[in-house]
Amino acid sequence: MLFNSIDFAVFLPIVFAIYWVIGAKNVRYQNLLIVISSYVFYGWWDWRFLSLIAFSTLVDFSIGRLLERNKEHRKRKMLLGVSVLVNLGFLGFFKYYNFFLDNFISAFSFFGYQLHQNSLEIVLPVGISFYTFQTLSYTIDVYRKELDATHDIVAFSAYVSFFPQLVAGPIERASQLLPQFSNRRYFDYNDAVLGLRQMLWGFFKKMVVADNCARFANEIFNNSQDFNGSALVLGSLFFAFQIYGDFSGYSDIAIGTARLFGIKLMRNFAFPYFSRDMAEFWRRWHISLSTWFRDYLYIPLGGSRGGTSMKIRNTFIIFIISGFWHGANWTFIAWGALNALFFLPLMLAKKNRINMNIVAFETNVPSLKEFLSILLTFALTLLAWIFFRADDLTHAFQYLNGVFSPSFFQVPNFDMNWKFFQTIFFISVLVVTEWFYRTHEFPFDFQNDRFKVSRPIRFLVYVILVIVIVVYKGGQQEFIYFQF
Amino acid sequence: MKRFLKNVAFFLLVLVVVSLALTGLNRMFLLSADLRKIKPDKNILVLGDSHSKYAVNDSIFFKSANFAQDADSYFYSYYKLKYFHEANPQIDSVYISFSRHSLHKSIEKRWLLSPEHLATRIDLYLPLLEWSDLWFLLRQMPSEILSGFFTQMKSPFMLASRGGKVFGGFEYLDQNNLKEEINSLRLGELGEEYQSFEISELETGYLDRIISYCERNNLELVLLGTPIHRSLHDHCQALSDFRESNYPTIPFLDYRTLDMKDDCFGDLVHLSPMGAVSFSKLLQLKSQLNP
Repeated sequence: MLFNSIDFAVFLPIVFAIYWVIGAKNVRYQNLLIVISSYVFYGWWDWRFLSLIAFSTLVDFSIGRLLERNKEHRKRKMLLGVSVLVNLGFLGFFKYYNFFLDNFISAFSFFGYQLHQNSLEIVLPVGISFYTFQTLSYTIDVYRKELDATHDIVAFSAYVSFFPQLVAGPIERASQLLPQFSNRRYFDYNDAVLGLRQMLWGFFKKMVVADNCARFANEIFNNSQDFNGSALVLGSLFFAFQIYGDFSGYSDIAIGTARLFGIKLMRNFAFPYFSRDMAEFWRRWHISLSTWFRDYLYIPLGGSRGGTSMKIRNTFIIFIISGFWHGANWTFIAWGALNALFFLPLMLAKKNRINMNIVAFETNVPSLKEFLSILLTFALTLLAWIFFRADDLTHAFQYLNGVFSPSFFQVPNFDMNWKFFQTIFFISVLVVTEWFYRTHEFPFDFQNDRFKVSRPIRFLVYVILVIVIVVYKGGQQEFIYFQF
Repeated sequence: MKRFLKNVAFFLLVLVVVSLALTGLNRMFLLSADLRKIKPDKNILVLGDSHSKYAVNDSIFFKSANFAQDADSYFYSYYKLKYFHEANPQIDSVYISFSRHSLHKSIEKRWLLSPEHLATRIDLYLPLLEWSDLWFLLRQMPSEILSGFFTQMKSPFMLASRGGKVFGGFEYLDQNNLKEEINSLRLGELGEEYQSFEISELETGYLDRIISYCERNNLELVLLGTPIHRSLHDHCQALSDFRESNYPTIPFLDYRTLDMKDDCFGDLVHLSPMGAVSFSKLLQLKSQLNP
């Protein structure tokens, strides 16, 4: 079920009503309702893959219990290995089987051996990369004795399948989310209102900004050979706002929906395009994935401790695996490697933690240095997005070749119709609004508002926003991150 | 919880009121707009799909006012008929496209029940819809119809910039695909509507409503078969038979097999500018001979 569908508009109020009327009496009822509604939500797309979620839930619940009982280090390690194997096994089969097979065959043919093995027609279960990482975080935390194993299968199922974040995150930590399913939730007016506001902003980002940008990004990327350098830069710019609006919009809707049920999810985006360097960008972009890799991969590998070669190795590993997590394509690996290259100089010069505060926190207007740093960082992300969006590496290099050509200085040979300017206007609305609210979790967080907007004005803003979403929604419907 | 529900309900109520107010204002604007008025000397309304749109030049066949539009289902023709007839009592005849295309089952999905197609029409037609049709469309495409309550705010701007042309009207066809289509035909690649003659009950249902409307208002309805390329002439009989058995009393101006040169066609079923001029002159001549 898509958030931006009529189905969800009907589904959500029904679940909300049952949850607070019937389920409010008992935490088990609440959790049971979360599980049932989450399975309906997921099954709406393809019920067959519910068995994968159910299996993954059972395996990790059981392993958690066994880890709790076993004190012997070797056995505990083995149990953790089983969990990793099962979860990554599913992920590997559904997501990477054909990629490895095709590359294996290509490698052999390079040396003159012809192998004949057909790729399998594998349907990628939506959200598999997200929920496998979430369940893995549980077993790892229990293994590390940072979390007690849960004895409540319903609460654990609710943790694994919680519908607002099931298919595209944020990837929650067991230590943060699971305890919330152990306690009865009480309705909180302020939290529910905050949730609705965050959802509204998420819908604007997804349906107005991302879906309108998609039209132009697709046109330029799909016909990149027909466009000059400056038009190709526009294509990358549109894609940058498409993916940001799409994914951060999804996260806002997910977090807002969770708030309606009294559940607090972690923040996933913190206005990343206002970052002053790539290290700051990665602290602000897809935070739940970055911190997952940091805690479960980067730090165990040694992190930034050790010699220079160790730091370089760890940085490349973390970025390349992060890229590969997005999809079975060399473009994602290149995207990860490129980001590692951008990040590495900062780390080696020990400048990766200099921009920890919020840009222009006191003044609202950035200094020239800050402004130029933001522009440079944004330009680097644009460059990297080309790899992310390209069909394959050849396409990415052709695109780059087009960008870095004399035609870069020409007027874009792109039909700049009124739709184009309308989309630019909505991007500007997004950027300006988020800039003024960059000290908040999301715009329209009026409860903590420093601007003190009066109630009628707030109300008017919501009405206008709903109308803008309905009237100017773009064509593309599905969320990009569903494919990951 | 009560406070939350009360505020949400109030917010939704405001949205409903805004959308209804928009619909009301839009309806008032549409019904009072000058664009409804057509010249008093024009007494024939031409409606239908692209076949009529590109064939009948209403400045040559000057007694007619052409409001046919690309991909117009009989559903929209019905509303256009009501819209223009109510404001123009001098109208006494209605010519409407009648072809395999306009009746074919596949058209239902493409021209009536397609969300993409609806998005191109709903802003203009929503305030004009009868309750039964609004309910029908709402059940079929709820998201698009609900959006339509707000997106219709664009229609006054459309009307202001394009006037009556938003409802359609004669244009010269500005492309020529005849050779490509003849080649495709030779390769056996026939359009869906020529592979089988499967009739859409929905489309004929709206044609029936047009017929009833014309009968109630003493309008003469004429089914118009515009010329098609000779390579499709073998496929003409099925439509004639259908007309004979279902609409025997409705006059059928059947020019489908009119002998015209290749230059007169923009593709197999649409007339080129040259064809449109010849055909419109012919209609004009006929009307002078039989006023």
